[in-house]
Amino acid sequence: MKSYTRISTAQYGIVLMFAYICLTPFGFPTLLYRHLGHHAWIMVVVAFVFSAANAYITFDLARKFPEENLVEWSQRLFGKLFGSLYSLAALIVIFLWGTLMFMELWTIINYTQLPSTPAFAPNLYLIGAIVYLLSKGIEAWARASQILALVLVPTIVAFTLPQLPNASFARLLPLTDISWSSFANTEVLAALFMFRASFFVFFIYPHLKETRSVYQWSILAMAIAAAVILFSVMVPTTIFGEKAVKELAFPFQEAAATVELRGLPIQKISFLAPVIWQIIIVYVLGTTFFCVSRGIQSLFGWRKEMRILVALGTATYLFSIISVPYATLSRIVVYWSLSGLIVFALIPTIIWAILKVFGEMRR
Amino acid sequence: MRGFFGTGLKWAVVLFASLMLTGCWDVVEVRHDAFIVGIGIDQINERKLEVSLLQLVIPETKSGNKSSGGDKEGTKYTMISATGESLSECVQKLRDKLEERLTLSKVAFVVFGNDIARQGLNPYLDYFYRSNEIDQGLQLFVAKDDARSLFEKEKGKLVHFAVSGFSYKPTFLPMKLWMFTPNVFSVLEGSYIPIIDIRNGNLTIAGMGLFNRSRMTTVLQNETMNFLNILLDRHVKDIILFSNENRDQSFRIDSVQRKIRWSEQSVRIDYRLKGSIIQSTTETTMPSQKQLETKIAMKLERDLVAVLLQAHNQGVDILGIGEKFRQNQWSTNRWLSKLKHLGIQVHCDVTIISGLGKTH
Repeated sequence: MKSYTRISTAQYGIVLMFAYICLTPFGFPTLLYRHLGHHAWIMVVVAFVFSAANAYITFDLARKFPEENLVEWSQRLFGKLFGSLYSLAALIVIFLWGTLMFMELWTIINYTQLPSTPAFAPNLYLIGAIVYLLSKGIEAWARASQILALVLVPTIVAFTLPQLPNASFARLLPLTDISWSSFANTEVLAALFMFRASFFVFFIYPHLKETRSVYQWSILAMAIAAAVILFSVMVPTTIFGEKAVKELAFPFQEAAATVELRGLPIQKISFLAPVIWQIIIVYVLGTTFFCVSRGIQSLFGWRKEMRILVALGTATYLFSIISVPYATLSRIVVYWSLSGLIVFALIPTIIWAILKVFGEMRR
Repeated sequence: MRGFFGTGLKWAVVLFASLMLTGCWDVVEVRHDAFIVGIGIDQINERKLEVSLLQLVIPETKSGNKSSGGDKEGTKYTMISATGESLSECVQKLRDKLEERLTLSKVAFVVFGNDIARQGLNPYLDYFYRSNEIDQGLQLFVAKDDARSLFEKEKGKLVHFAVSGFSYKPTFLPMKLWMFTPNVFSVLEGSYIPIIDIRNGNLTIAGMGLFNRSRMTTVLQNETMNFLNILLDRHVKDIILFSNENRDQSFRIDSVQRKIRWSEQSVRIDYRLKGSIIQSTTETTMPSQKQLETKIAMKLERDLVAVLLQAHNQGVDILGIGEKFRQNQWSTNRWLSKLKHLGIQVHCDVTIISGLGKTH
């Protein structure tokens, strides 16, 4: 099963880029518009700067324990009990990431393309495919991700750029009437966890063929993802205006629906959204299942990876067919993001700072 | 156990997949879909609405049609109507009347009756914004009278016009659902919707309704509606201007450059127009080119100011001056009253580049 267990940094970068993009263009913008109006895009820039710094800490920690994943080194640092508790919290946050995003994706697909289709059949196939890919080893999954990227990158370009002629960027003005107190809100602060996929490095680092340029690839992947997310936050405001965009449930999708490519075989680009994000969810769930299964193996000493993957797939599948109101789902994502910030930004930063100080003292 | 996760599981997946791939589960054939291409909404009385649907007739399809028309290619359309207290109630009744599945994903236009346009479109647009079937690119129209009678007379002309025909009218200003959206939620940007009518069997653009938020407050009649193109600097090529009220000389626009200078007290709009003289009806000698350019420019200035004042007095900020004020952080409090007192200057500079087949 695990004949291929190592991937290249380029493959890591590609997976990370799409995991960074995730479902963010559909989820967070609505919350940001509500609090920040036409300044919503500023939070993407803030989250990018914050996450780039956090990615460095994440990378530096992973580099300190090159042969261990998060569960293994945290148990060594904090002791068995506290290390296990921290690891468990981290694994729950990662598992919920994939599950919540999968649930959100189905809400979007229901709205945009398949209003009458029950989730149980397509979700089963999608999860089955991901579990199967991962069971063939991390490299098989990374290679499949590489091939999918060849389709995905031009499709995302085709989905986004044609929206520009309908945009009026003056609607983002004025820049100076910003109310900084609006940023002190849980829903806005939760957006700091926008580029959450950085934790991937905690689990993939021991499986990288070479590790010299991991941080550079992480930042490149994050920068490209930030450009896509920035576009998804800015352009709907420039098309519909600040007041209207607050009223729409999926402004990015509606912005794409304004495009008509007359004379071309494909007149409407909006139908591409479900296709693109169904592929992106493969990256997200793949990353989730890989990290959590590795973590469970280290935490409980279980070696049957396939069984863990099937169990994770089944649990995600069962969650995905539960009908949850979108507002509730958004609320859960906010609290989950805040928990994620504690588990993957605050605690690693403290660990990193302590290790730095002790390292300096020893020297 | 290995056997279960190995061969057994694979066979189970293949068998389950084959069940799903039959494609016959809940299938609806195309001929069982009632493809709606146009929606008409009229006010019958204070509480009641009438919604009319224009349905594309696919051969061998029967429906509860009341009247039908067709375009030149022989495509048939049928109209079906229902009354109710809300748009959703009417749609529900229409769904019950149809023998096929109601499909709104092909709706190309919505026509609002004149009465409804004057009361405000917001309650109805809300339905369209929420619907996952409705296309953001559908065109909005206001009927000269009511939508139902327009549908009865249209014979496929409106469908043809809304789908592709409008693109052959160089000066037509279409209004799509998404373009109207900013206007619905803000008074800082006014908007317009074309008013249509069927006269002697021909589809005509009878004017332009100007909207304050979603309410039509004034109408630019046929003779003045092309000034809206110039004010907005959209679809200006081929607009014909005249040198005076007698229409002695006709000037066809080739290009327009618009420059707007904003200040908190006034707005100055400069236009540079280039075009050709396409006709002169005067028997006497034509004025010099310079004189003619000045005459056309002065008349255009008067006409543009008149249109702007008409819009502003009816609370329609057609140029989006308020939005510009917001962007500049100038006060937009009591905007519509401020707009009426705002100084507007229009300056036109006309250049005749050719007399076409004649020297001047």
